[in-house]
Formats: sequence, structure tokens, C-alpha cells
Amino acid sequence: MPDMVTLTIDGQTVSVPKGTLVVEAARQVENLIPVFCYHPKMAPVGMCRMCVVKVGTPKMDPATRQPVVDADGKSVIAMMPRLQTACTTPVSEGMVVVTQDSEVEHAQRGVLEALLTSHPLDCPVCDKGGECPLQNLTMGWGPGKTRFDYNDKVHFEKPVPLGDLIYLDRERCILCARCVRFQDEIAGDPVLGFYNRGRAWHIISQSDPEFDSKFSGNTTDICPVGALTSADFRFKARVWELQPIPTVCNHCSVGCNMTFDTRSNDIKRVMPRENDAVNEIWLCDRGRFGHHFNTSKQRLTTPLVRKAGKLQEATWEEALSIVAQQLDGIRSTTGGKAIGGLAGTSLANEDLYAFQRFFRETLGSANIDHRSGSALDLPLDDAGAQYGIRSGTDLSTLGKGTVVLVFGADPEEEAPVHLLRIRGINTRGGSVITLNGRPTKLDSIAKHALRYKYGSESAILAALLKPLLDSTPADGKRATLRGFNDLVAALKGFNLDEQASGISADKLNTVAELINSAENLVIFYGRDALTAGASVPAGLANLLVMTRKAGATNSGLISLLKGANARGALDLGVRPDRGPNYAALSNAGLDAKQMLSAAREGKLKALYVAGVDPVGDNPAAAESLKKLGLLVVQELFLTETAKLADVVLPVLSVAEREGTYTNAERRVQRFRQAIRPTINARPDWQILQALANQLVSEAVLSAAGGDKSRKQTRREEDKARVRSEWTYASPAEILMDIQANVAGYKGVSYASLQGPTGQWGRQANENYYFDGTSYQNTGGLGVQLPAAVETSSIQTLQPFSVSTPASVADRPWTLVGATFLYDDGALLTDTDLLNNRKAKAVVALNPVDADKLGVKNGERVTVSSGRGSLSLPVHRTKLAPEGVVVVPVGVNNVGLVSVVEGGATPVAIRREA
Amino acid sequence: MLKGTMAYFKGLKTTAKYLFKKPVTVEYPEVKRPVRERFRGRHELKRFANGLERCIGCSLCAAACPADAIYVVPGQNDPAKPRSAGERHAAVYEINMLRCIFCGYCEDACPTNAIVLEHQYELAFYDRRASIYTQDMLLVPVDKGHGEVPPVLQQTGKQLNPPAQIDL
Amino acid sequence: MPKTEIKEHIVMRNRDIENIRDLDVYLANGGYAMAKQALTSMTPAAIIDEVKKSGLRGRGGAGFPTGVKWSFVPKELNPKYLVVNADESEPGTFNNHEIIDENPHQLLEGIVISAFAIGANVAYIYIRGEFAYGARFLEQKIAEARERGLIGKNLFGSGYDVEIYVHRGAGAYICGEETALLESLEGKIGQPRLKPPFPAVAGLYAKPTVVNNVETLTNVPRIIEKGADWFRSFGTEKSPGTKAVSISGHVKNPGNYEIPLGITIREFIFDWAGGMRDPNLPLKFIIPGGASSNWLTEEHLDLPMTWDDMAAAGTMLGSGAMVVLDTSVPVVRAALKVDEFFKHESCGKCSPCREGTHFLVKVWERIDEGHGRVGDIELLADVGKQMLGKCFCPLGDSSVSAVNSAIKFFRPELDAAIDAQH
Repeated sequence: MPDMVTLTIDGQTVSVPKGTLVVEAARQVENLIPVFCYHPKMAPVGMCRMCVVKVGTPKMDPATRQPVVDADGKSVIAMMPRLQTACTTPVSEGMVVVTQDSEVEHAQRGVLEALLTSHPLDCPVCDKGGECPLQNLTMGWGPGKTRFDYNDKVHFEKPVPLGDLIYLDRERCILCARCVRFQDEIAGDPVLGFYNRGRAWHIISQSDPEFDSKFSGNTTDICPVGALTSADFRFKARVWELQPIPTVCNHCSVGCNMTFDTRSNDIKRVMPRENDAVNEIWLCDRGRFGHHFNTSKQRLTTPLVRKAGKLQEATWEEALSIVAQQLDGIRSTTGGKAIGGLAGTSLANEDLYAFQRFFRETLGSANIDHRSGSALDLPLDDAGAQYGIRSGTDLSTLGKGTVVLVFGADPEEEAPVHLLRIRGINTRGGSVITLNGRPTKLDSIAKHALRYKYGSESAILAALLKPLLDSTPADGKRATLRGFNDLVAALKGFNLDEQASGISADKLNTVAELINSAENLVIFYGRDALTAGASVPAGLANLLVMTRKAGATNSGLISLLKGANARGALDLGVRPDRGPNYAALSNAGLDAKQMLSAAREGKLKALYVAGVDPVGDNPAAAESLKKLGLLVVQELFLTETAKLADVVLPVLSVAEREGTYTNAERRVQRFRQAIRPTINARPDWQILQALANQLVSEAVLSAAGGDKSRKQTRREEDKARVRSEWTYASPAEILMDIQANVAGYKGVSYASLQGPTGQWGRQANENYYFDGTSYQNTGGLGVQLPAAVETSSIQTLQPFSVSTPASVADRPWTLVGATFLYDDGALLTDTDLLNNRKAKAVVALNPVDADKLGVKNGERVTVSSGRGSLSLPVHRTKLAPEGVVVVPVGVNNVGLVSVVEGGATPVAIRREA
Repeated sequence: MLKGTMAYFKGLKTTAKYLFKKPVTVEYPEVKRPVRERFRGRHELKRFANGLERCIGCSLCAAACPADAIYVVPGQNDPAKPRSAGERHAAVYEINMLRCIFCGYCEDACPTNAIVLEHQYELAFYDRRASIYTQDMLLVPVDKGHGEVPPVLQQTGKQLNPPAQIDL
Repeated sequence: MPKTEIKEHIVMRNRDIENIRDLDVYLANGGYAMAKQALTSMTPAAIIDEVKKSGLRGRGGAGFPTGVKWSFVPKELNPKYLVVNADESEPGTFNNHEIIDENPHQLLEGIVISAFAIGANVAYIYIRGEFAYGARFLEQKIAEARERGLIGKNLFGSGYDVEIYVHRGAGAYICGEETALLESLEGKIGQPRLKPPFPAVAGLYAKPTVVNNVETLTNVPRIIEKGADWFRSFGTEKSPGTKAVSISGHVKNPGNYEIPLGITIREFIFDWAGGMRDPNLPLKFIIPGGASSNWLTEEHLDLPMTWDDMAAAGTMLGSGAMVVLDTSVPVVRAALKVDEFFKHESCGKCSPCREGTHFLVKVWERIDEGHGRVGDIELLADVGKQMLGKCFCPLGDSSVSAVNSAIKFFRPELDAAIDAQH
């Protein structure tokens, strides 16, 4: 390779890419130069001076600019007069590095002695003890004893809380600034800083509330001492007692790899597991601290059956036979179409596959969905799979030449770790474009941060597509694009109404040009885009096709769906209109909304709900559910829906069982059983298997009512439909079934998810940069599924049309439901640490608008649409643009669901007296 | 023949000699045999003179234990009502005396001299569960503490060193 | 040897011309004519050339050739900044103070010319926080000059703008280090930056920046006026020109002197500064270039005061702050005071300096208080060795010079100080 540089480190020759730092080059030959302040994910600073080494470069003849050679023909090495920090020195050709000699050792011992002069001797009570780089490096490089008086150590009051989540012990701090730099460089929340100087120099929080960042927990991981400890793990256990179990975060669609560190059958902490293709080594605070639901006392512990109007404890046999008999009764009288099923997006792939099989095969019903049937449901998103990011893409390597378009999404709230990934691409030289209806944190780093007016999303996309269409040559290129002429027709005579869209056409032309010239194009879209109509995902897909990026390396769509396994639910056909792998169905079933209205009309007799809470999402749904003949709820908690159920079946949580999730980038990843269940619950798939087998057994069939001939025909039907009795022994076998029957999942098995390990050699518990066992990834990196477009030769443009929002004269404002990371969802049950950070039930209103209405902070307003109205206190903030009111989704007592109409909704606002 | 008879008397001689000596048998349990100063018997968890527990819940004893007999769950001290000196204490401290091999490694590992193998050796149980000695059983009474809290454990309520004053 | 006379003062013209601080007096003596000439009839390259030819070296301490520094600034990157380092905080230095208070317009003229030469439209004077008077005074002088069209937009009809702002520091020695100064000027905590990139490429707000000392820039108008050859008539071949030196300590006439470079230390102390204060107390040692320099003793009195000669003797001319101490001074106390200063001023960024300075002070303190331990001298030497060359910026190294000098020249005295306790 042309830009490789060869150098010698302690006599070993190594070739590394140009620009590599000496400390990284040394790692390649397993020469561990000790570091404290250096971190491979951040720019070097050279503060701790631990990594000093001797460096020499070939002596150059000033006249000829050629290396001087000695008699043997070897180049003469000129050693630098001072020791150099290996973490800030880039390699150069012919460089000679000496990491082990008396001078270097003396200097490194000196640095350690210096660090230890003000480090307290409280390792026995320190949570970092056992995985502490300072301990380890002191053992390796430090002086045997100190020459410094103990009483002269620096003293600070200890510990001080930095916000609710993190404690700071300033005595232990060695002032490496890793945490400050993480917040500045990686998280983009510069909330930490320094105060004072010299020995009194210390970390402070500069934000109000303190340490106001969604990534604060990561600073405890990268802290090389126990200065930053998490409130969650403080004094919970010693790290060597913990058993790390690989798992996958189930809080959002990023699918961060992490471990549950367990002891005595209890989850003590959550640590990130390194996977450069997903989360690198980061976690958001929700993922890190939101594990308490697994061990919550509020969990359902045993099956409940409604007897005499009350839910009462029952055995599994009893509960299951009631469900099986009743389902069979309904099936035999009215057929499968009177049964509906909802399976949530936090269920594993295995559960979802079993669920749709149970409905389609066993019950003969196509009425399945993964949504709750509320007005806040997201539409089914197929573009994210069809035009999804190409398999093998690693966002952590993208940089120069990459354009990231964030359309109608707030990654910070919807998928926080994606924010870090996007920021990383930007740091490495990529460009970020944000096209949003309201301000987001990414705007600050975006090359173009554009704000559209809600309702004009499709017009914006049309304006981006039009120049691309016009510049497409008329020759064969157009013929390879299926749907090209339709798109031309759709955009015929289109002119951007700059007034209505809020963005100038020129600006969009610039963006279109930037997108078109990009080497890689990654498009993120979230709630705002998904709720803005089918044309938006279609338009984004068309952008990919028109810029020749569809199915191209390192390009594609990433859809920030709600729920950890929303992509899995779509892939595996937990939806009324398509089967597994997006197979078209001859007759579609009812979706969640239709099921609820069918129930209200009495057409739907039974509803089977797994991991969805229709009543919690929309209290009005209770009315429909009460009309059902049978409501079965399979849940972790006694949700509002479960309270109405006839039978409640408790399930095991993500920590108590194993399975797989498919994340937003369509990577299938495996989680494992971390703790032994102490309750009488079962995994979802087992429950479904038991029911399926009961339903096809003769006993149930013969016990079913109906006349004889009918029973006979039905038995024939069943035989045709049901392949065989279910004999899954473990989720692994279901995944085998999935990979055999779902084309997209071909080759995915527990064995393939296990490997490959070894991202740049960092998997093998290397106590070097990160130390401890924290980041070790023994659980595998998962498998990224190919997008549909990758395998097809003809590229299809999606049907696209420009819609103009109908303005409603008496409702001049726009109501937007926004996702917030910390919501009132069941997965944050018992995670009290995050309570103060949860989104408040308020209406966010721009100060200008608030003045217009004459409302102060905290005063109540009524927001009413064509459907209904809500009444909430006002929060004046610039985060709501003028003319837009933002209300949180997933927060209790908001009433948003009864007001909103799909996406952005025209509303009237009235100040309450 | 004669040789055999001589041996017989030789044996009787020994018997006769001990017949008038003080017997070595100790009438246990009425009489308890004294043990050596360094005898390793049942553990005790010590206190400081001010009554605070010496144990800071660091689990190093558990880590050092070759028999895995010690179970510690640490907890955070309530500054208003501290149980031990410093920030941390042992919320649960249990030793399984059936597993314990009385090697004394826990003593060696203890940074605060909290665990000491004392002279009690009467450790018999009717059931296995009883062999688990809890913190209450192991702790010495509040008034039986000794020693002052060392500076390294006086962790809370510290103030910053005053900045250096210079007059050049 | 007779005292070398100086023909005229280059930077301390206030000593030749009374009231030169007043704009009218300064203008009457050819003030701002050179700025006009430079901006209207010279190219930046020509100015840089002239300064290069003059051999002017940075007066801040390192003695780096100013013209060469200017030529490092990349042409294509804009905007550029000129930053004037008026953070005179080296203990014993007070010569910039005099220039600012007594000859401010020559400094301002120098700034205008230099800014034009490097292509900067904005110059910042980073002045030491304690110089409250100087800062207000400079602002007043800038306002006067601006009123007359000598600073500001479209100077002398050349179409070139130069704005000068005064920024007061907050009292940190480290902010005299150029990158820490830039950090502080940007409003951040005053700590040195990693080099490279050097300020000439990415300095203030990551733009090309030249940082020059007050005295350096004050030389510039006279070099343009009288030419490089005239300038070279002062001083030596390698260290041309004059240097404003502050002398303090046990001499008869402490104060500022503008000396031609190359005179010997003996001449400076005994002929210029009047010799030792008390004839009964002979010279013990000299801190020749501020607290950070290695000490000299009587044997070095014939050392010429140039950058290169001083460097060869293992010390430095520095910012021109000579402290002369007689035999009444205990070495331990002197070294303690110097290291206390560095401990107080250590920014805390790198570990050897943050903890090392503290460590040194602790050991010096106990020796001074009479609790010295056997082996403390070796301990000091070893801690010094752990620090020297391993710190992030020169401050840490500077704190070791007192240790090394004291051990090098006064080992018997140190041993005696410890032995007295045993």
C-alpha cells in the first residue's frame, strides 16, 4: 500500500498506515505502552505523560534530503533529545522507538509516583478496584513504594454527585480529562469542565441540571480510576465477583451490545460490549441504567385467570387450557377472522415468528399486528428493509466522502447511540445534513441544518429529487430505473413553495448536489418522517436510487423505529398485509386499529396481546376490549390492558431467557439468559408453542362445539394448514426454522451470530486501553441482513406524490408528538435514577408563540384538534419552532392520543382561564 | 523366652511411670484446653474503639478465600448513621464454617484488620444451614472495639487543601 | 574595562525623549511615519525581509528569529491574527511594563507594521491581569491613535485595516506561554496546547497566529526606519540589537536597562547596575533570565549576555530579568521560593509538573524548616530528573532549574543544612 510507514519498535519492525500514532503502532506488535489520558476513540492530548518513549528518526542530509547512511549502509538515527509521548507522535518512515530502557522506565515510574502522590489509598472501597488501569499500571510500571508523605496528599470532600447518575471523587481523579473530552468530542454535550489549577484542578459540571447528558454513564467506563462511579453500581459488588453475560439492549432500535454483570442471580450493572458495527463501546444512560425492570417486584409472577370478575392466580395448565379451549371455540364457530393478535416490538424474533405462525397456521387468522392501534402508531415501514443500509456497512469507519442525511428524526431521543455514530462520521470528515421540523442537537454539527414546516415533507423531497431527475441522462440509464416515468409525471410542474416549506429552493439544490456527489449516503429517518405520509420514506428511497446509492456499499436507509425489535416484527410478518420476508398476502387481515374497531362492533371475538398495551397507549381502547369474548395478555407487568384481560400469562424478561433481535441496521443479534427466573413465568415462544400444540390436538378438536360435518371439514383444514406439531426445544431451533423459511434470514443461526469475534484484536480481554473485563465481547457481533435492493439488478423507484397539507382556518397551529428517550414506558419500571430526567407532561411552546397567547411557564392551555383536545401546562422553549407545539409521546396523562391525527396535526390553542 | 518376659516388664515399667504422673487428658467440656496465641479459630469481626465496624465491605477476604467460604454484599454508609468508617460497609457478611479451612488468608487480605481468627473452636452444627455464620454472630460487641480510625478511612467531610500562599 | 555606552535607546526611547508617551510628542519625533511608509509603499514581504535581515530575535525568552517566525504563516489561510504577549509574569521581569507605560505608541506602531507584514487585520494585546493601569492606559492610547486615523480602517489610505484590542489576563504565569495565552484569549482555561500544530498554522480560533513579545514589536518601527544595518550596529553578529533587562536583587541600582547585547554579566552588574549593594556581602549567585533559568555564579561573570552564549553556559537570557543575590541569602530558602512560585503557577494539566512541583516544595520546606532528612538532596535530584523534559510545557522543566542549580553549585551548603539537624 502506498501510505504504509515502516518503523522499528524495540527492534521489531512494523508497518502501519500513515498517520498512525506510535502507541497504536506498538500495539500491533503487542508492545504495550502504558497510557492514562490516551483513548483510541478520542483525539490525543498528551497530558498524563505516562506513554513517554524514546523516539529517533533517520538523520537527513540537509543538502540532498536523503537519509544519511553509515558504513554498513544503515541509516543513521538521530534520537530526539527529549522523551516523546507515544500517544501524540505519529509514525514516520524509518522511525526508531525505544519503549524499554532505563530512561523510559525512570520517567514512567516518575509519572506513576506523581499520580500516586495525590491518589488516596482507598482501593478496598473503590468500585473501580479490580479493573482499574491505575492499579494495573502501578503493578507493571510503578515504584514499589512512595517517597512522598502520606499526609501531604491532596484532599477534597468526597464524593460529590454530578447529577443523579454519576458520583465524582476528586481525590481519586488523576486529571486525564477523558470524561471531559468524551463529553466534548463524542457526546457533543460539553457539560463537564475544569475548575481551579495546579493540584486543586478538578472536574466540575457546567450544566444545570448537573451532568445533563444522555451518555454520562460512559464516562465511568473510560475513567482510568474510580473518580467517576455510577450511582447505580456504587458499592453493589466487587468487579471480580461479577459474571458478565452477553446481551443486547432492548430499549431502542440501535440494539447496543452489552453485558449484564450478574452476581447471586441479580443484575448488578450493565456494561457495553464492544461492537464497532453497532455501538462501538458506548451505551446511552437509558440502556445502562434501565435494567431494573428485569428484577422488578411489580413483575407478574404467575398466570392469572379471571374468575368471578376478578383476576386470580392459576396454574399454567389451567390458564393455557382455558385459552386453548376458548380460542378453539371461537375458531370453530366464526373462523380465524374473529381472532386478532398483537405482538409487541420488544419480543424476540423467535417469539414473533412463533406468533405469526400461531395465528396464520394454527388459528387461520391474518389479523396480526405489532402496534397498539392508537393514533400514535407508526405506519409500517418497508423502505428501511428494502433500501436499508447495505449489509457489511460499518458506520464507525465512515468519514470523508460520506453524507448523512437526517430527515424528520431526532436521533438523540429516538436512538441515542446513533447520535454518537453520526457525530463520529462528522468528526472523521463526513458531512451531516439535518432536515427537520424542529431543532435537534445534531443541528450544531450539521453542514446544512434546515428547518422545514410540518406538512411540507414531501414537497421538500420533491425539490431534492427534481434536480436529480433533470440531470439523469435520457439514455439507457433511465431504462434501468423502474418507475422513472411515473416519478417524472409525479413531479411534473412541481415548484417548491418556499413560503409554505420554510426552505429556499436554492438551499435544497445545494443539498441535492451534495447528496449526489457523496461517495456514501446514509439516510436516517424517524418518527416525524414516518408519520408524514407514505411518500416520505418512498421519497427518501428514491433519493438513494436517483443518486445511484441504492444497494451501494456503505449507503442506505436507517429507519429509527420505536421498539428494540420493530424491524424484526416487520421482517417476520407480524403485520396484517404481508407475511414473513415481506411476502405479499392474497387477503390481508385487520391491522391493530381495525381490530379495535372490529372489537367495538362485536366482529372480533378474541384478542391475543403479547407485549403490547393498547389501553395504556390509548385509554379509549378499553371500551373495545371490554366487548371481546376473550382477551389474553402475555406480559411482564400488569398493564392497563392486562387488567382487562380474561387470562394473563406472565413472560420471562430479556435477562431471563435467550433470543435474538433485529436492529435498525437489520443486524440480528443474540441475547442470553443472564439470571435464573425466580417467578413462574415462561418465555413467549414456549407459551405459543404450548397453545399451538393444544389447539391441534384431538382432545381440543373433539371438545369443540359445532355440528359434526363442520367439525370434520375444519379438521381437514387444520391438517392442511398445520405442518406438524411444534417441537421447538429452544429458540435456536426456531431461528433454524426462520432461516429456512424466511429468505432474508438465510444463514442466520446461533452459531453464525456467535462469530466473528476479534475486531482489531480488541475482543480478547486485553487490559490495555479499557482495562478490566468491561468491553470484552464474547457474545458475537451478530449478522447484518442484506437489504432487498442489494440482490436485485433492477432498481425500482417507489411511487411518490407531493401532498400539500390542507390548512384549517380555525386551527392555525401544528401539534407534533415527539419521542423522548426517558418516557413512562414499562421498560423504565423501577429505574428510579432516571425519574428526574423523564419527559414532563407539558406542551412545549415557542416563547414568541407563548407571548402571543399570553401564557407563562406552567400555565395551562387547551390544545384541540378535529378529534379531541388536551389540557397541559406550557413549557416555553425554543425547541418548539414558531407555530408548532410539541407534546411528548409515551408520557402518562398527556392525552395526546386523543388529539393527534396521524402525524403533524393542525390544532387550535386556547389559554385556560 | 526370657527376652519376651523382659519386654513385658519394660512395658509395665512405662505404665508404672505414668501411673503417678498428672494425666494429660483434659476433661472437655468441663475443662477447656488453652490454645496458642496464634491459634486460628472462629472468625471475629472487630470494631474500632469508637464502636464503628472495622469491616468496610471490600470483599478482599472473599477474594482471598481458597475455600470460597465468605460471602459479602457491600452497602453504602448513611453519613448520618455510619456503620463503619468511610463510605462503605458490609451489608451482608457470612462465613460458611463448613467450607472454611481456617487458613487465615482472610486475615492477611483484610486492609483494616477487621477479620481475625480468634480462639473459639467449638464449631459444631446440627444442620448445614447453621454452619453459616452471619454478621451478627461474627461481630464483637460495640464496646469491645479497639484502635483509632486511621486517616485513610476518614474519608468523608474532607476539605480542600488551602491554596498555596506565596510571598516572593 | 570601560562601560559600553549605548548610542540611543531603541525600545526605551522614553529615556531619550521626554513625554514620548504623548501622541503629539511621539508624532513630532517621527511617530507612525514608519507605519505609513510600510502600509503605503512597502510590501509585506519586504518588511519581513528587512526584519529577517536585521536578525531581530524574539525578546520573550526563546530568542527565535522574528522574521523567520513571520514567514511561517501560511498565506492562503485567513483570517490571521497577531497576538502581543504582554503577560510579563516571569518573576523579576518588569521591562515590558516600562515600554507599555512610557513608550506605548512605538509598540502600537510596531503592531500595525507587523500586522500588515503577516496579513493580520486584528491584533490582540494580551496583557497581564495585574497591569490594570497599563491595560487602561493602552486602551486610552489606542483610542487616541484611532481618533487620528492611525489605527482602524483604511490606514493611511492604503485600504488596509488594523484593529487592536486589549485583553486582560486573569493572573496566570502559564498564560505567558504562547499556546496557553491563546487558550486564555479564547476564553478557555489557561493551559498550554499540544504542539504541533504550531500557532503560526493554527493558533487563535485555529487560525494562523503570530505571538510576539511587546519588546520585539517595539523594535520593529525603528528597524523599518533606520534599516537592518543600523540595528545590527548594536549587539553581536548572532544577537543583534539591544535588550531591555530588568535587574533586581542585591545591586546598588536595580531597575531597567537597555543594554547592547553581548556585554558581559560582570560589566552589566558592576558598571551598569552599580555593583553589589553591600560591599561586605559578595555575590553569591545570579538568576540570570527569570526564575525559570539555571543559576550562575561568580565564575560566569565574564559570560557575554547573548542568547547563544548563555545557552552554551546552560542557562538562558530569557525575558531579561536578572536577579543578583549576595551571600546573605540561604540557598534553600531561595530555591524554595522559586519552586513555590512554580507550584503555585502549575496549571495542573500534566502529572509530572502538577505533582512534581508540589513534591519539590514539600522537600524544600522541610529542609528549610530544619526537618531535612538524609537523602533529601538525592530525592530532590531524582524528582527533578523525573520532571525534566517529561512535562507538557516548559514550566515543569523550569521548576527543576533551581533544584539542579542549587545542587550543582551549593551542594555543601545543602548538606550542611540537613546535617545540622542530625
